[in-house]
Amino acid sequence: MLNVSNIHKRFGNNEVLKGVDLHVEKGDVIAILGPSGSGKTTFLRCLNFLERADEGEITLGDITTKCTKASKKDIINIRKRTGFVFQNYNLIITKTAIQNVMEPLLVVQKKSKEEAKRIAMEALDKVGLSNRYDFYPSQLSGGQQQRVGIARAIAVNPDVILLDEPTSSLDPELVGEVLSVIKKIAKEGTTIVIVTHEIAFAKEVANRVVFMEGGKVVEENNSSEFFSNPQNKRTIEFLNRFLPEYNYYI
Amino acid sequence: MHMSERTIEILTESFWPIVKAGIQYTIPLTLISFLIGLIIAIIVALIQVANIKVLKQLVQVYVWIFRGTPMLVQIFIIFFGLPKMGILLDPFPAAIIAFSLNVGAYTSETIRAAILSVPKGQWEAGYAFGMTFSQVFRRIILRQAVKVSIPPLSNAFIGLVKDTSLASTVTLTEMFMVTQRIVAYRYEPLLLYIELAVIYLLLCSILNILQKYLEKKLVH
Repeated sequence: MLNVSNIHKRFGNNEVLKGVDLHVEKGDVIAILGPSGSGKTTFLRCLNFLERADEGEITLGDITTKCTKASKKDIINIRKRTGFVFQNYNLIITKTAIQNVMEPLLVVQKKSKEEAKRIAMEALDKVGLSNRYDFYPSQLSGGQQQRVGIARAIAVNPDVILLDEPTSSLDPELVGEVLSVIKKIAKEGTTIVIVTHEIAFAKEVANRVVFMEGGKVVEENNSSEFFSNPQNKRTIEFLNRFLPEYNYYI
Repeated sequence: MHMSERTIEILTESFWPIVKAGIQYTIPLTLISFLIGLIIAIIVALIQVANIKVLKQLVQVYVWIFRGTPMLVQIFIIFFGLPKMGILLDPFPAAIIAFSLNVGAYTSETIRAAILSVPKGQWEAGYAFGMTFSQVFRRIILRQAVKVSIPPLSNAFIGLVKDTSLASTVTLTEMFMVTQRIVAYRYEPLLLYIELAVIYLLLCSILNILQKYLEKKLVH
């Protein structure tokens, strides 16, 4: 459904991505792991053209485009069919929770106000914020803001939801509430690609794991194989360093 | 005693003509120039933020010229210089053109800075879901940028109120020119120019209050 091949991205002389591939089937939950600076976030941002890759090809459903040649229309069409959850939430600060969720429905999907409102309420209820519709981002905790971010992404009913380190900006005690929401939507069959440092979460929720380092995928496997029988030396080191620490109970 | 009666007489006699010149010229000159200037500034700022080729270089040259030359020289070129090329303008439109272009150049930088002050994440909040540049700008960025730009724009506005006195040099009978004329036959420069200063001060104070009100309103 989503097929990405040979993604290269340079910032100046620094080649951040050196030919990354990814194949996503409907219903997949794919975790992208890797040390800081390995290019995970840049890769995810290339998928919906928040960064434009210098090389590579993206296919989403019936849209296929070379990254360098994608037209404005291609880009908008790909974005319309992907939901994105940011590390820093990126809620519109002048709009309330429900207005944030309604915004793409009204502006991009051209839904009526009533329908947008109904869908937004449903999405906010799903992430456990039925009592926070009219709160501004500044009146919400980080965990609540991120759940609004997730509600915004699921409300547009995308083919795939891309989550960029959704818990990295959160206080430790708020991580659990966000991960449990992601777990819930994963269980409902939502297709998800998540960049994360929550190894335990990846182990529990993802069906496939991609391990990146130095701008390349160094290991990719189904989740149980990846964790029980890692092959690459770097993967093993990484897992040894992180796995004993997993302590969020979800 | 005799002196102070004369003082009061001069003050009361000159007050209305000066204020009248303000209502007739200073205020309309300020309002019209600022409005046109603001429209120019928004267009110039957007061209730069959206990074439109060629146009961007063009507006940069415009900003460069108008920020780098004295307003008085600009007014003189437009009013006294252009007739040489067959473009003859009345003082009022000549002053409007000069002030508008000047305000446009200066405040375009203010507006550009205000737009750039909105965090990148606010743009991405719209882009990531398929919104276009103009949708994101109108629905997400504009309000946040306006809020940031009110104090510096008010500054520019108040500056313009005072700069309109330069229009006296192209025979426009605004407040400064009227005062000068009264001084010419009353021989009371200290008194009359202080009176003029007080009138300017009052005008700017009213605008200041207006600014505070606007800021308060836009915070929510």
